[in-house]
Amino acid sequence: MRRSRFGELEEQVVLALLRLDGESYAVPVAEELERLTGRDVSPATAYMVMRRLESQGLVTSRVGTPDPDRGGRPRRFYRVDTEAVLPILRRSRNAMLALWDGLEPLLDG
Amino acid sequence: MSWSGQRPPLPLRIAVRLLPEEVREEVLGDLLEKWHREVRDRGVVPRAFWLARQPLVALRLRAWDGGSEKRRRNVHSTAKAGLPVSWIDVKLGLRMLGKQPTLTLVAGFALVLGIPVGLYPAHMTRVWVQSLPVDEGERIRVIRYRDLEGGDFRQPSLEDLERWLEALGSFESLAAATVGASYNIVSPDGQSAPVHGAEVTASVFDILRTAPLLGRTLIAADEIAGAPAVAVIGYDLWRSRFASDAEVVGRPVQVGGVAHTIVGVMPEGFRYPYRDDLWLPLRMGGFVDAPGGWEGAHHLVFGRLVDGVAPDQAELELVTLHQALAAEAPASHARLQPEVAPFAAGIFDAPADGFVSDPEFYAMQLLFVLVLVVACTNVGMLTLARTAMRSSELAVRTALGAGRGRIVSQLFVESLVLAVLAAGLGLLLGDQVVLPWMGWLLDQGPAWLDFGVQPETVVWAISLSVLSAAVVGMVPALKATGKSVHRNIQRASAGRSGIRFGGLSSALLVTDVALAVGIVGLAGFLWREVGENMSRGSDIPAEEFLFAELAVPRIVTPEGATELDQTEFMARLGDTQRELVRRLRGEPGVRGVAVGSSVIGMRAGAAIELDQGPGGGNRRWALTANVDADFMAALGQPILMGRGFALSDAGEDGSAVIVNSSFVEQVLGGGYPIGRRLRYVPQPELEPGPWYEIVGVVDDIGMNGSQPGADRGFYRAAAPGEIHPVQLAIRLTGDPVSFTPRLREIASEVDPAAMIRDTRRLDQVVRRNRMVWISSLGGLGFVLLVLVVLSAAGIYALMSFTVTERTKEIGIRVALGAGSGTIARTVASRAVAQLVLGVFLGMPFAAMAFNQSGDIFQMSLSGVLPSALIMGGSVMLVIALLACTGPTLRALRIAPDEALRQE
Repeated sequence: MRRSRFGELEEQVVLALLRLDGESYAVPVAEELERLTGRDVSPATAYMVMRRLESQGLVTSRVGTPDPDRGGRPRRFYRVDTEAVLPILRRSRNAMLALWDGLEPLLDG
Repeated sequence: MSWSGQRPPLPLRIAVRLLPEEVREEVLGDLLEKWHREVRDRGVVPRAFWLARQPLVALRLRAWDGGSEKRRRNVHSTAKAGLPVSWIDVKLGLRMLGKQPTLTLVAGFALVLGIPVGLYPAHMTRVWVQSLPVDEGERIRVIRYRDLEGGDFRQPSLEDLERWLEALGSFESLAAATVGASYNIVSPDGQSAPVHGAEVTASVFDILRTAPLLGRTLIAADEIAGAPAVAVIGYDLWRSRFASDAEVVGRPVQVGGVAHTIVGVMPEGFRYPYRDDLWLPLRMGGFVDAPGGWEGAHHLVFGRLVDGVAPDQAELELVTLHQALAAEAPASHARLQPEVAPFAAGIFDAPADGFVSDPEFYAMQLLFVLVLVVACTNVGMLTLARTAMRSSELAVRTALGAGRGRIVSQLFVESLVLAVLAAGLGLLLGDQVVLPWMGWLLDQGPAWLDFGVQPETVVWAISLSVLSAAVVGMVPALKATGKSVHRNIQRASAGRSGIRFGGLSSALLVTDVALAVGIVGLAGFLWREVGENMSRGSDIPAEEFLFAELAVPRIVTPEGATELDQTEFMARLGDTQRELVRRLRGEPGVRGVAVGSSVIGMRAGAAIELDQGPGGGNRRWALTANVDADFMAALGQPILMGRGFALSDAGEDGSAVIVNSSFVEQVLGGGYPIGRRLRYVPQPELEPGPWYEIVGVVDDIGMNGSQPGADRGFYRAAAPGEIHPVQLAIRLTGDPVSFTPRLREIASEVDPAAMIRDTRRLDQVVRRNRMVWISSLGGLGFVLLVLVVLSAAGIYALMSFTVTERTKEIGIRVALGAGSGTIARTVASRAVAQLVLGVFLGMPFAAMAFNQSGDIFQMSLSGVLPSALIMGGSVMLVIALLACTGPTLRALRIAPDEALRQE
């Protein structure tokens, strides 16, 4: 069954993936989240979130080449299925904007 | 820095173990990459935090992961069904730790020591079967034979290897290598020194998936007989002997007196298969069938399993192939069974499952867990007393509706919190202190061997924590909550616990004292041994001597290895020794050269038999060494009785031996030694050797450097060619160590393939051996003493509690006119009876422990048994009586009116 909305971390991971040209692996995704949100995300967390998104058909994955920095282990690259995720992201963004509508002055005060 | 030759940090390995199996490798890759960046970009503290956080992150992910939803539901339903454990209990447990710091400290100390001790056998079985820390190292497996009749392991032959190369489909590729060899290398600056090296098939580098740092690895063409002699060198050798020369590839190097061309340099950390720094092509034509045929070397056959093939499947294929081989050559193969084993198991000749199917392993594991149980029992006694003090709290909780299970689980969780924290600290100490120390003791073992804590060790530690918590917390809790609600409340209101220390506590106390008697005796004896070792020394000015060992290879030539037989080998070694010693004696600054198969600080034992006379007839164990005729004079050792060796004593027909003072005392019972005869008795079923006559006596000069108390031994005069190994003690006028390069130069001139190994100042050799011995005994003694202190604490807790419980009774007795003596007798009589019973029951246990220790440490303890038992018994009685004194004095101070007001 296709999802109608994301969890907070899932949404942030999908957005980070989109910012990284739509395809990346766990380490840059975790670092992008840390850089932009200040949230300390482990690569293991990013990996598990993307794996779960893959099981729901929202991202696809491929295996890269082995790397000595990783003890000879390959990277798993995840690519966002934009067709599948954009409606969910749009809905989420609209909901947030609707909720914020008229409340901006609170932030200034 | 590359992670391909290194084991990932422990927290990362634990973290991935907590995740589903199918994602572990990829997540570990991500974590390693991130860790690499952390090491590069961040300070020690932030990156340590990052590392420590990963197992917790993984634990949360495990709960979050979609697949675990069902598990989570199950956990919830279990909790509702009957495991009333909550986070509040954990918080309460943590609070209790702070509330009773003394108990926390004592109990924590016991568990910090006890849990790692209990883990030790299980942990070591994992060490002996670990995989190589290379890419997918768990797929690299050794192939070997098990001898079905003898039970020991054998290395395969060349024919077997060739057949497997053709027919075996379970392995991607196979390789063969020598293990434990060393070669004399002459570097460009003219310096010669031995390095650890291996002759390997070219496939080794593919199997280990490691590319060279410079040049190339060995290739199949190098293995062909007659091909140019080439060598690949290791990173450390390249740095130390070739000054990190970037143009080293193509340069010549002398290896064992034969010119080789360096074709490659391997990266840092590549020391496989053992601790090697040099790789020569294994010429298949020279592959020796007989295992262990070469000097200090044997061949190891290993390969990389095809992806997806389990070791069991590979073994099944091997066994099937072997049936045909056994039918063709029944004489050599019918009694052999091929098996596939982890790499370390192949190196150490350990069973493929790491001893877990060995009954002796379970016996040993049980023994180590018993140590933990003893520690926990004592902590349990302390906890029992504490639980009793809380009986009013427990009674009120019961009255408010808490079931027995709820209260027991709360007390259990409180102990579990302590046990888990203690296990964590114990593992940390083990990982950072004890296990590296063990690695240091085995400094000649494989360079890649990791003694560190494995994820499995953590799982076992958690299991033992649960066991400890059960003993420490649950048993007292069950006892404390055993009474009916009504009685508990009644007793609590009277200020009493409701706990009676009847049969259980008596049994605990008696067992405790019995164990402690043996332990005190043994600990005292071990400490005495340590003390003696510290103070005892030899009269030889060891700091003036350079120690070295001379070795020659069985032979290596570029055309393929030709093995010398034993006679040829010993003749070559003898010729080299004779010429080397002749040259050394002519060197300026050399004051003397002693040559022996075992000089000061080395150990070699033999079973001997004496002729009739005091101490005669029986087989005895003594140290022995073949030495040259000048040995005593070169060491400056005077002959105390009889005569020294003459040149005519050396050789096969020579029958003269010189014994040391300890031999005269311990073997001959102090009788007159000159003229007495002795002979070797290798095994009862074999013919004894020829008789030797004692011609002289020297003082103990430290034949057994680690254990001077067991120094009894004798020296036989031997000619060059009869001494093996050849150990040298060269007395010099200046700094002995600075003579090392000259010694190597001379040895190289005498025989280019000769190796001078283990060069150290003689006193350092002795010191190191003693340190190993002393630290082993000291460590054991420390653990034993801790157990004794815990026993004392346990006894004190019981006694103290008994007095508290009997306050009112004592008050009434005092009011009725009982004197101090009567009160003291009333309080202490039962405890003293238990202590005395424990001391006497402890004697047989102590005798058994002593016999076991005697076997382990190769010393006879029968002579010291009575005194050790008396010491152990006395010390325990004193400790126990002291433990009784405080509570008894407290009982004597009880005022009758105050005691009666308690009602």
